[in-house]
Amino acid sequence: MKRSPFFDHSLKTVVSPSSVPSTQDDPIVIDDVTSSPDDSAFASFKKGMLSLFRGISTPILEKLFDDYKGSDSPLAEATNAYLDNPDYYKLSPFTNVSSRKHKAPSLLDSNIVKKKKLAMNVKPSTSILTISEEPNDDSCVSSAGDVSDNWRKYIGSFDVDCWCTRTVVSSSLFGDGHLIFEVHKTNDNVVYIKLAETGRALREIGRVNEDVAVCLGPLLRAHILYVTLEPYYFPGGIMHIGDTFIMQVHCFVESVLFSQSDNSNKNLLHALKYSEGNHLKSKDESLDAFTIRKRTSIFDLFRRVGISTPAIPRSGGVKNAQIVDLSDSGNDDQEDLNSNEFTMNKIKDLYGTNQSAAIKYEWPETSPSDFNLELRPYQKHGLSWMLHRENEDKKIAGGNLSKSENDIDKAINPLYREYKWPSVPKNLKQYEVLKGEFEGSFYINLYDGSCSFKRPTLNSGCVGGILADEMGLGKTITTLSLIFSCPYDTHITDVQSQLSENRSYASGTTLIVVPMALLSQWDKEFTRVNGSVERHCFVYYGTNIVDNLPNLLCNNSKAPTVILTTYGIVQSEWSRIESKDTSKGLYSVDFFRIILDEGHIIRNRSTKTARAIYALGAKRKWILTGTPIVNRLEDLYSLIRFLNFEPWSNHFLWKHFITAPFDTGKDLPLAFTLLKSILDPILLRRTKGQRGRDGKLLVELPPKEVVLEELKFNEKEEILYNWLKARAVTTFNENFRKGLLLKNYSSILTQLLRLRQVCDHIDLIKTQDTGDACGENEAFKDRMSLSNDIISKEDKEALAMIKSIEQKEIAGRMSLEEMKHTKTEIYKLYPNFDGIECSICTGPIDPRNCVITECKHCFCASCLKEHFDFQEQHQNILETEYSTEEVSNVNSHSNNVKVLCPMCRAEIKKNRLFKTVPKNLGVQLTKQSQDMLLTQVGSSNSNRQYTVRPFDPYGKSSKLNALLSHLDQIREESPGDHVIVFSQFTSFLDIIEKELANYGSEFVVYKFDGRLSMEERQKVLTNFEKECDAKKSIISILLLSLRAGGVGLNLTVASKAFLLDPHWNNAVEFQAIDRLHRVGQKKSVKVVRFVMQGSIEERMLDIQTKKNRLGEALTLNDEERRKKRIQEIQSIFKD
Amino acid sequence: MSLPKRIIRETERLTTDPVAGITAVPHSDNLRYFDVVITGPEGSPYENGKFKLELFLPDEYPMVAPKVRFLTKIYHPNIDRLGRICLDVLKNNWSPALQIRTILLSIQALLSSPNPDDPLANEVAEEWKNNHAHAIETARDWTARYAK
Repeated sequence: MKRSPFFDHSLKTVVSPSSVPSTQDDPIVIDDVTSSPDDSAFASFKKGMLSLFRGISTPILEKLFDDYKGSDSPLAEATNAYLDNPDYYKLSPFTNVSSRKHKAPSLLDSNIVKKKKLAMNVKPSTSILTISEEPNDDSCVSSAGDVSDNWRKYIGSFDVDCWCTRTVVSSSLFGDGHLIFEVHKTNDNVVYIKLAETGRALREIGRVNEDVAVCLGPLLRAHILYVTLEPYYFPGGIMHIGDTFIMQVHCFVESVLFSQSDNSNKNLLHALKYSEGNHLKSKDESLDAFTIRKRTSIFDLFRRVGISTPAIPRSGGVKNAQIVDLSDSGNDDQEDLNSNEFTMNKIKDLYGTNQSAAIKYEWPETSPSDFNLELRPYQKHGLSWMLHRENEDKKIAGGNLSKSENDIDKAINPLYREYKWPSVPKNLKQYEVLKGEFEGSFYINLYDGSCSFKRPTLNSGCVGGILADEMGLGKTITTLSLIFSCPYDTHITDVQSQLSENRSYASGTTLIVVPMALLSQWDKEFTRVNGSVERHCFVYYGTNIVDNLPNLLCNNSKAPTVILTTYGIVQSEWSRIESKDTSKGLYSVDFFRIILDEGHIIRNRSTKTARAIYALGAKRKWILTGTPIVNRLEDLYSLIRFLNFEPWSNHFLWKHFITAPFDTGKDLPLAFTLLKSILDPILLRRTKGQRGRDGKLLVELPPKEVVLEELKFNEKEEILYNWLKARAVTTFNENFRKGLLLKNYSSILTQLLRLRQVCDHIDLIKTQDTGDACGENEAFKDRMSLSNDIISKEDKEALAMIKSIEQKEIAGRMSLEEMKHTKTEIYKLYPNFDGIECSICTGPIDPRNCVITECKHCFCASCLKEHFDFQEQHQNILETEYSTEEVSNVNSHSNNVKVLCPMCRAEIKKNRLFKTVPKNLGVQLTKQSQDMLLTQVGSSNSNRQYTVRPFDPYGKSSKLNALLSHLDQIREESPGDHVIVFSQFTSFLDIIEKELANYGSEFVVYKFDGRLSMEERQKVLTNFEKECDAKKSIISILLLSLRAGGVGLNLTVASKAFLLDPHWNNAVEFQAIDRLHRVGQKKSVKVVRFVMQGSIEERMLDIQTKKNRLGEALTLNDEERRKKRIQEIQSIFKD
Repeated sequence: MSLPKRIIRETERLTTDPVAGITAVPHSDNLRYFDVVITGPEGSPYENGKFKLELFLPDEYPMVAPKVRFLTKIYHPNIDRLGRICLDVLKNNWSPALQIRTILLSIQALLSSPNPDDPLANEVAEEWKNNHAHAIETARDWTARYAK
């Protein structure tokens, strides 16, 4: 995109040097003094400054010029200085003002200075202050300039509270005198009420209450407003100082308000562009204080007089015109702001209204050609909409939309707001001075308060938009149908000039940028729907990268219709270009169309990826995303920036009108309406819950069941968890007391991480797997490595803790002799397990899953575990009933509980159990286990089908155990099923993978995480999708890292999933679930979420719900968010 | 809640491989609830009596014992007027290795050999100890009267 020139000399410059009252009495004299070099420099300086800051006063200009004339680029420096410190320049009384006064006028070309405009501000100070009630008071009318087309129009009346400043007899006010307003000489915020009687000097009788004076003062002074007063209420008899009386004020706007609007928008944008380049921080600085005051006052006035905006939205187009009901918004403002849920509800509304608008508007159903798939009705609507956004209305089924519709369709410039002229009460008609027609509406610029009769339309220059259909509605298919409907540019000639010169135009190619995980999926979908030999898709990735893209794409009849690439490739090519300054690869061509899949990836405009994406060239741009706003409203900006959606692609404007109001809560309803009007035309969103024209849901999905399964820690986990938690609480409280929470944030996060890891598996502590933590906080990882020493020291303690627990366990075990003896007896007792059943479940004993007690009775492992659990729980309850509560030490309750063998009632102990291992798996296990006895005894008797080894029922993690029993059940009940297991910790997935390998051929296990390459990912997914043999009672299991696989993948082949650990943000979890529960899913979906009882994970669920309620993410910046996190963490540690 | 495999297996076995003198049939609407009939053991005062019982398998079964109660009136020192049975395996000595079948066999055995030293129905137990013949007579009488 080409930057516009530093400033645009062609713009008409409005000079109003006298907006600072103190200098008003110096009339500007236009004469022809020959310019000295310094003068000509000042001339261009002044011209430049004026184009940036309309209304900047001459003294300020001079001061600035004097300060910066010596520098290389005085204009830039001065602008910076002025913007950095406007107050200084506005408030300082410059002593050297007059030094150039006589020269200054020479700089004002006569064609620039229009007398009419000067009239607005330059006035004899006396006439400014006096506005009399006399309808024919010439001094007033003429003082607004001798311009013949001046007019004055009634806009409404309102009551003004005033207070008396002089003791007056009330009746005297109703005499032959008139009441008038007079603005204080220098202070706009003070408006006097004076009594004008014939033959007497003006007498002040009171003042307007300040809230109203603030509004009226500046407008009166600027002669924008004309008022007539009518006494409304006076206390009878004598009025004393401080008494309140009420005046009715009839307001008229003067033509001045309208005369200044013509170029203001351009000017404004120009100023904004410039100011953005200078990293302006505070809003409004590109406008001078006067304009800001004026704008505020006008809106205040309009609100007070209750002037209305057209009530009915302009129908016909999806683009609703920008309509604001002012009188309402004023009140809502106050009430709604107090409610916390305002923002969230509104944003929801936003999506909601967008949906209904899209549905009500009866888009025809367009079907693409050469497309091997029948689109669903709503996808056809979507296609029509997308074609419309690309100005390809001809291709929409049913032909053109009518011209008139298109006209209205052209959205009103969102910077403007429409108002209706009110009708004039008869008695006030006399005050109006009308020129021409005043029917219908007028428009006011929300930014600088200038007005216009013409409907300001907006040519956004944005071809494309955001398709934000909810996940699973087939954004991919809809988009592909667009590509097939309109694969190449049909009007090449008029386009080429718009695009940058040094790139060739790939007129028949659409570039699709996708996350790496989705690359092959897009490729596959393309092939699936492709019904034409002429179309093909080129995957620009890995070895397929070609430098000479123009060769391939331009003027080549066999150019690929679609080029698929990843964000990574785009970013790396961009970095290369940045350094070498040559255009290669993707940056050597301008594409016909760019489509960003999962477009929220570029939500942060300062990231390299986002900047790389902005730099890509294309005529049409689309963004696909299910979540246009991930965290903050700022997210949306980046999307709009990519789309080049003028004027909002200007960050300053966006920040000023959208982000700031949502952050501060000021002007919220306005910002909200504005946001809606911005999004309405360019964003289409449908949700699964929506109903189509036929009244049916857009997508009928099989039911989904999400079950939360609470698991209990086993002893080992509980001891370790409690120990870690105690340590974390201490650290937290210590830091909290010292106020170092934010500083030691990362160490606290680490401790939380450890807690979460214990919830999964104790062994995770030994790993450096940070799960998702670094994804949430990118700085976290760095600081992790910085504070590695401390952390590893803490972790060493934790590891020592684990070791001591394990040692205690071993201490209770059998001696080797005992063990050997028992084993021999077991082998004698059970030559095999044929016909032997578990007395607890009465099922046959499975040697893969069999536990043998010291008394040599065998049970299913799960049955005996249940027995142990039940007995422990039961006896614990009895104990607490009888004995006083005992402070639990490490081994307390396990020692007190006496569990008996169900068969012989001999006492059995958990650490004195054996398990059997079937022979055919023995090889694998001997490698893993350090159990010497296993190999000794096992190898001596080779015709036996199993071996025996010591068994620790709680050796695995509780979650792993639960998962295994679930998987076992699935295998039994629905062999051939596909199951997905999500975790945030890839090392936990590793452990599970290892564990599942013990089950041999029953489970076919695949693992998909961020460590896989593109090809490997694809291989894993294809293999997983293969049918597996139901007869052999096998199930396929995909171990999926939540981060790598939570987004984009289509896994409808599976209908069951397990979420092993909760995420801080449950949207992430739901996204993961939607991998299964989406279009194409035929079975009902069952999802089990594991949560450890009484652990941090439960608190995380609380936080999830809280988050959902408040929608806090929308309005917080990073720092606030961090503070919020601290609060969350605090809630975790609170008991 | 689905029925555990163990309950299904036990029910099947009770019909395919019945115990002499005992029938146990689950209700069609509640498969955890059984109608039980125990025939009084030979040589006991309950001989020829058909005693109706109800048996219910709680959710925790087999971790906890089934709940069993006589519906038919019976004169027995270990069974009270409400039909509740004092039997160790139904209480503390329950083990998940026990089953419906074994429990009902234990009850049958209890009819053969009452234990008045660990009574539930105190009056009956007194009678049983102090006036044994009369007690046996009453038990027979009750059997003839109620357990037809």
